[in-house]
Amino acid sequence: MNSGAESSQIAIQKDKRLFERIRQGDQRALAEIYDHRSSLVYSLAFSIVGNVDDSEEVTQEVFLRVWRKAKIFDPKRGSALAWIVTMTRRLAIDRTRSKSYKSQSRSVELFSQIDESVSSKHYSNPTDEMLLRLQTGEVTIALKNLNEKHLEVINLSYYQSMSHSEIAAHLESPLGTVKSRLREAVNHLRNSLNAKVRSND
Amino acid sequence: MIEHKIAYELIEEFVFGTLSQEEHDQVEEHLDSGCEQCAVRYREVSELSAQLGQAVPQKSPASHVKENLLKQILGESEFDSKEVSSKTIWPWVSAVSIAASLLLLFWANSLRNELLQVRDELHQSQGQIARLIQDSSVQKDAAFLLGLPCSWLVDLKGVEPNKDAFAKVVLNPKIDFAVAYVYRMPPSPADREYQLWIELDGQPVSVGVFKVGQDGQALLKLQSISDPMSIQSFQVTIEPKGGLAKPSGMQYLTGMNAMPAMPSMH
Ligand SMILES: [Zn+2]
Repeated sequence: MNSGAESSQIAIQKDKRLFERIRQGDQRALAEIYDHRSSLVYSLAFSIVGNVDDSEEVTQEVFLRVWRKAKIFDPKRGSALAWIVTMTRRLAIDRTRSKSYKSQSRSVELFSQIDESVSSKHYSNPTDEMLLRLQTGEVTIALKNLNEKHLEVINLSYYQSMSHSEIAAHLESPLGTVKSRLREAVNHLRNSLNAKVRSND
Repeated sequence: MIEHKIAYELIEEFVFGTLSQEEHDQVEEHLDSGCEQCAVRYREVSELSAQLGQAVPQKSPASHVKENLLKQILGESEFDSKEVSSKTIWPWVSAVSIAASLLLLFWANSLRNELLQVRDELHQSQGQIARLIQDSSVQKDAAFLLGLPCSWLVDLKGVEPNKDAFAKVVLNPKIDFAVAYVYRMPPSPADREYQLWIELDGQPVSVGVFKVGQDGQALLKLQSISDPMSIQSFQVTIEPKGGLAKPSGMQYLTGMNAMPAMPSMH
């Protein structure tokens, strides 16, 4: 029994119902989806921008767009949550770029703000460090099951928000290698996470 | 427009948000063009992205973020419905600050649709403050009437199907106004108001219109009661906003038996 997958399915259904109400202009539904998803949006933004002010602004902007664009949101393209997360990442990363953040130092700072006790220790391997900082759950289990190279590109691409070319430069690998490695990593993660959802059905 | 092969290769980065603006727009355009294969990949990667995002240590944003957001969307919806006219706000809006009036506008509008929790949180407190300003002046009038030795109370009783509703009218033979307290009334619909009538020489005469909110209550001052003792009865009906010259709608309250407000002093 995988209660995590089950509760995430319930949460996705809740998003769906709330989106239907938002589409009809129900402001209470927006407040509800905010209550439901603002911690995720804020935390994700914080993990990218690394400061409270920008994270708050990104959070507000994301939900403002949910309100304004719910009418044109197409459920066939994916879940509301996926749309929200994609939007959050885009807005947060844009912000770091417009403020010319340095991608290398950024990740270290942002995590130190989340958890001082973890950052005060020294970890030689940045990927291990990433795993330690993530909330334990099915995602971290799936990540731990990846091979080292796949885990590395997921960390750099997703949790450090580096572009493919930045990763290529960082790893001193060809761009094509980075792309194919990331695609493989994404597929492996999808397989292990979806397998869990299916076994729960 | 970029080719499918190129767009497809950029979908992971598109979803993770790390593409340049130009590439981002190109991929978006390609997805919008309806490429099925890219749509499937987009869905796969974005669902995974949502799962990965949930592993980030969770913190809640400060409460002002929600407040600012809701203020903004409430502002936008007011622009959308320009037909909110001064008639929809309570007549005493001029007595309160501009900021409070704006909030009241939202408040009045929310009553017209349905009382939304969001608006409650944000604006009801402001609405209540403004209402208290009004109520307190009527309260003073009521206290004044009740303090006079010869004031009378009239009980108005609810009419089916609103048997629970009731009202008390305080009046005094020597004073040209009266005060009515209304309780447990159904909230008035957005486009309608309650109208209070007195019967003089067998004819109904309007003495005021009022709205009732979710709390079911109203407090109103009845002007120009020239001869309170000649009032034969009271009734409250529901009428189009602003009231009519003669009662036309359903009756909600009725009453005729006056009794001394302070029997011991009478
Ligand atoms: Zn395509």
